Amino acid sequence: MKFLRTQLQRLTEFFEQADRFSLIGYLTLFMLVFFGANEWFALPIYQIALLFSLLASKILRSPVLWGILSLTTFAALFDFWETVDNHMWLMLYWLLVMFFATLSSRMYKTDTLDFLKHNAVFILIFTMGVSVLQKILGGVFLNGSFFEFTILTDERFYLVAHYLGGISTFDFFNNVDMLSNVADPYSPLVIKTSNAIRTVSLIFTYAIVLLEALIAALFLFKNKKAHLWAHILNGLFVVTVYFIAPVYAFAFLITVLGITSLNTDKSSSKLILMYVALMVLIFLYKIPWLSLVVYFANI
Amino acid sequence: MNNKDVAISKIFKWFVPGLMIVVLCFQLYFVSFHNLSRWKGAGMGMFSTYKKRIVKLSTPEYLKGALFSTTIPDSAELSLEEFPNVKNADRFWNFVSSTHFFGKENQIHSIPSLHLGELPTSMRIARTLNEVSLLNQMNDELSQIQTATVRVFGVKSYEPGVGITHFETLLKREYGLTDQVNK
Repeated sequence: MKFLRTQLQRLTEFFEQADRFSLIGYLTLFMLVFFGANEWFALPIYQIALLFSLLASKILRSPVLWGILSLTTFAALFDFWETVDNHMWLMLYWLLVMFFATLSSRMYKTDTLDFLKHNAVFILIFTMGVSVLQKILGGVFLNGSFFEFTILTDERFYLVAHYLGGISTFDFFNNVDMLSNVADPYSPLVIKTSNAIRTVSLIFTYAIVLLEALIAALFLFKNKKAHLWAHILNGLFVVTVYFIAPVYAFAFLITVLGITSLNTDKSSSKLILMYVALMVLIFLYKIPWLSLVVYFANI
Repeated sequence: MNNKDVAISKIFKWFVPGLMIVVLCFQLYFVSFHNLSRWKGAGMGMFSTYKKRIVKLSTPEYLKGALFSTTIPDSAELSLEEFPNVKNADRFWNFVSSTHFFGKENQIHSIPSLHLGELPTSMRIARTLNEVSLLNQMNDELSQIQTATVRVFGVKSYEPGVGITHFETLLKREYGLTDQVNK
């Protein structure tokens, strides 16, 4: 226990002394390599950019680097704009922020970290706030019908439907298959549901909408305490939502934005540690835990 | 910094937030009036409404529940699913009619449609070139898809606690050799 505490203390000190801009730059490049656009032309450019930045960290402060990465990502998204996920758009926005921050610093000697923080906070407020707005405008979220339908028919929610909702494995996959094989839009489909699913879906509905609204609202305040709570809730969002929804790129992006939106003083090093722990957790979420349990139960 | 520099540095600082708001306005417009999926188009509408949408292509010669699989993944079907409009339907039909053929016993053969944005690996294309060469040898036995109906529908409503799910047609379009698209 003492050993662990010492190591955590050392890690905290490391983040206190680390150059914050380099940390953000490297994390952004790391994110592009692991979670960015995977078009044949995009990935090699991301990888070369990371390699060169590791060899000469000065490159991170060059607007040319971020300009090339922005253009590459734009080219990857351009043709498929109506099908790409929202986090890919957010990555493009973030690269543009890096480009303008480095350009502004070079041309007008502006404070790069302040520039990045301003934009990271905006992106977090926008993402959470507009997500709440869309849930209201969609018209099927607040009454719980979206989550009930999704838990019952989306394979990612099997554990929730089975263990919390009491839906048998047979009924769950029957629901999934029925929906996949719908032949015409004129005959309604009857999905197998349960009372427990209704309760679970209502809890999920209001927990998520409340969490997103609170994060957006707390980031709007300027005072330190509100921001501290916003970061803690942001961490809670990553831990809970991405345990079920495997959109790891989105989760990683939120942690990068979280680190960028922290104050640059010493008080933030513990929160950086929290975000780094979340990044590790995101990679651990990728392990097929249920398959491991089944494997070890059968040997 | 003079006043001009201050103004430009402020534009730099607010460029991305402004861009995000403009793109959101377009997204809301397309969702409201042109069937774009609320999940897509940079509107942060993930997990806000039912996602399920289905693309069906039926021909008099060959009728199948789901769309037949293609040799190389293509974005045409996905674009039509997420944003069902005439342009995407035409693109989808052009893709299917130029790359899919019926064999003697109504089995489907497909050739790749190369798209610069989603090129396959070199090993994959080598295998595909071999498949194309085999298809060329059996050219006499193959027939083109002549007429088809392309339909996109999605979940309209779900009754909580009951499970009854209703669907709605988002787009229906018929194609044939006399159609403008095929000329």
